Amino acid sequence: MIYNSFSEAETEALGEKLAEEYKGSPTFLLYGDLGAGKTALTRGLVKGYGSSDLVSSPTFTIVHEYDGEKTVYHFDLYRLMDEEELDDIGFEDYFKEGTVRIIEWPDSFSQMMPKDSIKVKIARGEKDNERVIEVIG
Amino acid sequence: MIVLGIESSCDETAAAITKDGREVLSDVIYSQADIHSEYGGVVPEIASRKHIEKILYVIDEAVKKAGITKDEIDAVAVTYGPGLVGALLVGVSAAKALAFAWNKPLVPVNHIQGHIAANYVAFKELEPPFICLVASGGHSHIVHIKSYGDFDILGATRDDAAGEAFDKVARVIGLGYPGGPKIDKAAKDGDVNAFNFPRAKSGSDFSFSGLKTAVINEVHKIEQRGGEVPKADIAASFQQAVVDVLVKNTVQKALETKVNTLCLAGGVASNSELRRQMDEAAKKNGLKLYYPPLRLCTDNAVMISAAGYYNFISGIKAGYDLNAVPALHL
Repeated sequence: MIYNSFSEAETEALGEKLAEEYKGSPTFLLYGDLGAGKTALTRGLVKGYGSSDLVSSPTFTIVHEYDGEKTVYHFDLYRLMDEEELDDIGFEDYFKEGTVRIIEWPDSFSQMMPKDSIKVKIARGEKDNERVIEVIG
Repeated sequence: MIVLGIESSCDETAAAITKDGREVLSDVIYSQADIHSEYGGVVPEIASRKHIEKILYVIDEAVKKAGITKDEIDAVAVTYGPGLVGALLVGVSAAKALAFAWNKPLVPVNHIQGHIAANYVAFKELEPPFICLVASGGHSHIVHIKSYGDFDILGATRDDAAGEAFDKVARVIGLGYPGGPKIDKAAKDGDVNAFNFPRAKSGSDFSFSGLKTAVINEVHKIEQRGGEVPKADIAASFQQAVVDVLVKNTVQKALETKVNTLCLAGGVASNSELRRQMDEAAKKNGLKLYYPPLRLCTDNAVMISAAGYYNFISGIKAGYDLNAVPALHL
């Protein structure tokens, strides 16, 4: 499915919509350059899963946790060097039933991501604020 | 009173010992420089397993370098949040084990509170109340320290932390990591007015994500036209946008609360322009400004030990059921 977004608010709203669509224990892999809107989409997803927690970027701390109807784990794997480091942060422990994972910068770790992950690719459109968002899975 | 402090919330594994929250007896951070001779050079890593490998070494060293025995330690203080859970647990577990084995009180410390306490170590005369801007890779807060144990958060970031914005902009213009010092340096040759980047603010809070996006859009535009990205000008204009917001908000909070002492803390507090311009703004508004030396700005255990001392004398202690709290608030 391909969506077009023309503002950060629209990207966020799409996140909320995706949360309604994907029940169970989904894992979202977010692809896109810096400033594409990965954190904005995450904000929508987290809201959609019933959390009013403030979403901020986990670049420094690697994982943020938000409590709502479902617990959402928000990862930024950019700073991790290899699969061993991902293992070392206890990545497997974040796969509890009924929880959600949103993973930014999963590119180098595709082997370790669940097969049924939902891939969300955010690319720039023509204009500064335009984004083409592709959801696969 | 002698307090052992332990820090393992993110990249650094550190232990330190202070006396009465003000005097440094030892300060050990496991980093390449410290450990080079012994282990052949290991860079700090995020992995919790790496913390496990280093934690006992840094504690041992801290006790040894302080020239004391374990019996002279009065309390064990540890960072229990915010941070990466696996990393935090290493420090928390070590602190619990030592407190139990040595029969010493266990004192929980919030990492952000630790950054603030770095100023107590650097400035013996500093006492609350004061306003502190805590800005680092993971945090951006303006905190009103009313007394040693009583804090009010007056503002925080809605999205990216200030230090994170530095890192990401440095990444985009190809300056590398860590972004803070790289941008600081590059900006010295740049024009702060070359680009007019947004100074975003939402109420009392900061927002740096929009600024980051504006910089990226600008770089993108220049690249599309096939032009060369003016790194120094972008660094200078971006840095000025961050400094403007931080200085303006912090000074405004001081004036609003009628508190006339300001402190800086956290890694971003080592930014030379932030220091210079905060100095100017403080002078203009009749405020007294403190900022700690570089070593105490970035993550360390001295600040945890000092904050632990003040928590302890405020009656804050933990049981052996102390757990890591990744999303701990102040």
